[in-house]
Amino acid sequence: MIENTIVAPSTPLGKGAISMVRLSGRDSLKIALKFFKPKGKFIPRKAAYGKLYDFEDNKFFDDGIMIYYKAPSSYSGEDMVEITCHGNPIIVWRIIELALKSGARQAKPGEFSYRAFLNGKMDLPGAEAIEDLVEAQSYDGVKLSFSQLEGGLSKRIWKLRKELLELIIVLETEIEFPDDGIGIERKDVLISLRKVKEEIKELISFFGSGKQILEGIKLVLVGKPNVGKSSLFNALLEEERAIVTEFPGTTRDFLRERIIYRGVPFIIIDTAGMNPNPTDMIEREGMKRAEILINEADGILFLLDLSCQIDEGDQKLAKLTVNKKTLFVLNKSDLPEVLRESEIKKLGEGKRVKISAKKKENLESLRKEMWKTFSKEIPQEMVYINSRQKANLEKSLVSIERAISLAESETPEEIISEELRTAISALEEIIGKVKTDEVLKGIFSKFCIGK
Amino acid sequence: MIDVDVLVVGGGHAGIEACYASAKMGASTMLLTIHLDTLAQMSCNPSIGGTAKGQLVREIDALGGIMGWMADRCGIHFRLLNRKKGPAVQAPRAQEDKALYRIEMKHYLERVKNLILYQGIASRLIIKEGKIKGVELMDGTRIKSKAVILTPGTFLNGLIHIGTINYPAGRANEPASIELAENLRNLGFKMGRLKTGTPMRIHGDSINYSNFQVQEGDDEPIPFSFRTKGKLNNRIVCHLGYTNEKVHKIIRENLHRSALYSGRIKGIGPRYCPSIEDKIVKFPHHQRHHIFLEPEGLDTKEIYANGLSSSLPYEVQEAFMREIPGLENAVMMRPGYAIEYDFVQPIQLKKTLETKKIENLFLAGQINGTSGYEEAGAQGIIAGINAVLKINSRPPFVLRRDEAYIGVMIDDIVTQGVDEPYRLFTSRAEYRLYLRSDNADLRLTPFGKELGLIDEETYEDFLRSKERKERGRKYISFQKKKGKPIQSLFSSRNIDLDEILDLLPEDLRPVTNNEKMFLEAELRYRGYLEREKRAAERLSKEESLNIPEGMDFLSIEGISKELKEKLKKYAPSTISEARKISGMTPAALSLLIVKIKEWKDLEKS
Repeated sequence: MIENTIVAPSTPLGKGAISMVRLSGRDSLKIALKFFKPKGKFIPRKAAYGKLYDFEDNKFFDDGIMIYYKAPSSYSGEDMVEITCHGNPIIVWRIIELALKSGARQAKPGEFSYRAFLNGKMDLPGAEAIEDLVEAQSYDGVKLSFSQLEGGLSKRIWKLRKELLELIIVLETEIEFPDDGIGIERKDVLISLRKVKEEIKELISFFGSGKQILEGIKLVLVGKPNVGKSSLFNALLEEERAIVTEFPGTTRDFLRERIIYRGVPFIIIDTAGMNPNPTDMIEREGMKRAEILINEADGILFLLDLSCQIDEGDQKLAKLTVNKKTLFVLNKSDLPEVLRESEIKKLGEGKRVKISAKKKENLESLRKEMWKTFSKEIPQEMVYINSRQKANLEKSLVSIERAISLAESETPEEIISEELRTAISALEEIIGKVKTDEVLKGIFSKFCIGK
Repeated sequence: MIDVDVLVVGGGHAGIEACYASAKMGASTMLLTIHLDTLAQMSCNPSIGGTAKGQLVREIDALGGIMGWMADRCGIHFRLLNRKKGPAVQAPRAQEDKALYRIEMKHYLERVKNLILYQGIASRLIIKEGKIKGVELMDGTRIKSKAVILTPGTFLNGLIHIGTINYPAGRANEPASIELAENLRNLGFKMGRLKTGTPMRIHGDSINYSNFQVQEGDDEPIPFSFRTKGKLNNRIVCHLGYTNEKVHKIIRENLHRSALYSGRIKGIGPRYCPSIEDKIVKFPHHQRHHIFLEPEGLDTKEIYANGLSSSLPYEVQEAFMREIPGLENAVMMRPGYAIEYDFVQPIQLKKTLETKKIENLFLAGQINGTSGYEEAGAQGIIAGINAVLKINSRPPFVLRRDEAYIGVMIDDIVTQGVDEPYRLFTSRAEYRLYLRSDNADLRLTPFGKELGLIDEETYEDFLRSKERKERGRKYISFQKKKGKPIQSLFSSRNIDLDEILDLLPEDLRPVTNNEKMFLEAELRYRGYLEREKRAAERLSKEESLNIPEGMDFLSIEGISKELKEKLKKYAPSTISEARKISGMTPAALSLLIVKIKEWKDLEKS
């Protein structure tokens, strides 16, 4: 039995009309009622209107709808609460905070689904998928194989699956009932196949950016020694202390911390010992590592010293970051300003924010600018793809591509169908198995078959 | 009192294969049938084979059954379906001379050693302590037997409907088996009701064929049986025509008089074999539907009007028939009708087709919710084999899904149950590219030999053919043509197979069409066959996953209490066994697998 009550936003992070936060576990209701005050009578499984109450400053901060699902009749099979609020990430963030303070724990990615599986609420396709889960259950660093935004992905996959299934139905009808003269055009098959191919490719392309949402947007602090990287790093963290979590497994000689701004997680990486003009082995090694980090980063916070001119060191570093989205952070605004705008432009494109890390001035503007510069990368239709799902999508893609070349070369239907079956079963690894009768059902409902 | 080892009740296609296999395996066997003259009657269409069904006939034949051999002998029009597609989905089909089939079959069975044919109506099963002991006939005669195989077909509580009229019958004008159905129900079997139908038969001389398209048989007919030698001949042609809006209008206007649409039929009919009224209701936008005119034999004028199956009253059937160009003056000899019959929900069976409830009682054919002569025959041979194995305390004979279509079918019905008449389709098979008619012998003949169903001569032939196939495959896969590996030529639909086969040395050249098809298939499907093989191995690994002793089934979260208790009760020792427990769902099985792994990890640590 799982004891913990977990909480997480269940709508994509970002602005919208409404957002939803879910709790699952034995204490869901007890926790929710600490900050959600329903108006009037409260009945399980019925939407209850109410106000969101911040018990730390004794103020209401939003109104919304709450639904309580009693176990086992819920998505996860446990007691669950869903709170729908206005779609501002700040509200979502505060609700989660309040839930955490009331004894809930942040859900791991996919944990609701995982619990649903453990409680027998979900089926999983094939032993392989089960193996994945069994592995995940060991908690030894293997990520849970469900995505936080699973709903979005499933929908896309179901749609793809439906498109493939329709193709299979046509091919199978042609195979099973040759005398009924259904007749299929290879041309049409190819059109559908190419469409599916493009859709799968798009999903695969989400893999990288999905990671950003789940794990955070990786920003590397770049700047020559003494420009104030560590002060900025600490300044950003100090104010966020309440929600900063220590990044697990940090054993390397750079610091990574996560901050959340307006619901968007950022991973700030401070490269200790970054020196554009290395003087010894250790510093040379440090630069090498910094280069790797920069390459892997989603963006750069480029620190410059407002109180002095751009020098060769800045220019060297700028060369490393030339292909990356950059935000110039002009530190030491508390000192007399020497640095000129035109100089900065030579280092590359990017917005500029003046701050003082030491005096903690203008940090809010910096965060806002970070949010504006880096977080809007995420497209609306984006879905999170984990590596398992990506692998299955790629498997499916291989079969689709093969099916296309088979269809082009007039290969008999049963072989194309075989590839499509493989493609579908790879997709089903992601969303769950189909009933075997589905193809036959499709045949009979679409075509008038039988003598 | 008559005393036999195996008693087969029902002389249809299931019963025949069952009694033949049983007798051939050395058991004293009796075939009991309501009417000896309608033994092996083809109650509906005059054809055998077709997609998936043709493969099934080959499998029966490869195991040592009769259907294929008899169909070759009595066939009058042969076609290989799906010629333009690959060998895995090509399937032989033949129009049969129904009367000849019946007569020849009876004559054939009369000469089988250990087999008695007997006319009578079974009314009651004799059971002692959960074990079958024999059968009592309507006239009071008791037949004692160690095993009983029931193959009553549509006779089991059969009820014929024509329009608003209905009457009990197993086939038009043949008595139904009502007491037996009641007996089964009283024994506690979960039963259901299914429906099927048959179209009108028309006098051939009254048809104006110029309005129809001729359908010839193949130039070089391909036999069903591996044993058939010599050339087969097409003796007739079939004709193809269409219904039209006038026909549909009459049917629509009279729907309330159809047994089906007036609500008189409770049984569920097959979706793949709809009546004409069904087609018109379900596909209102179709302006026409096919009609195939198929002769019922050489010595009869009766023509089977394939596509016009109906339960409308006689006069409506006649009226719409006459709206079909070429049938304006047609004379109907028998009207179409619908028939409802009982079946035993097959989840109550083991994969040997023995009932779980009553030991040594086996069921085969329509009683198990299937339809089709071929499906019936295939179950018949499996039931026959297993009845004999059982009474001799030998291990059962079960074919897996990756071994034969027979395995697919039996696994489907006994694990999933049936909610409409079950027909085999190639798409039901996971390993379709492997389960082919051209390798049915390689897959099954060794089993047939071991069971004693294949005689020496046939087996010698098989071994020679096997050698040509296997050595031929090996040889040819290393050959090149125009500098390219042979394999690569198969990416196209149109290849000249003969040209490729010319590369083979004389002694490895295929001597039958079958061997030719085999080589084509093995080359064309090579990569896929390897993949299917791996998938099958993975599945069988999972199936054989052992459930640790002392496993606490009650602690598995997420499965129903009922199922938990069943698991506890049956205490399966493998996943494969757990799968067979009635009511077991794939989801529950997944959870069980997780639990086993958890359990094993716990033990390790």
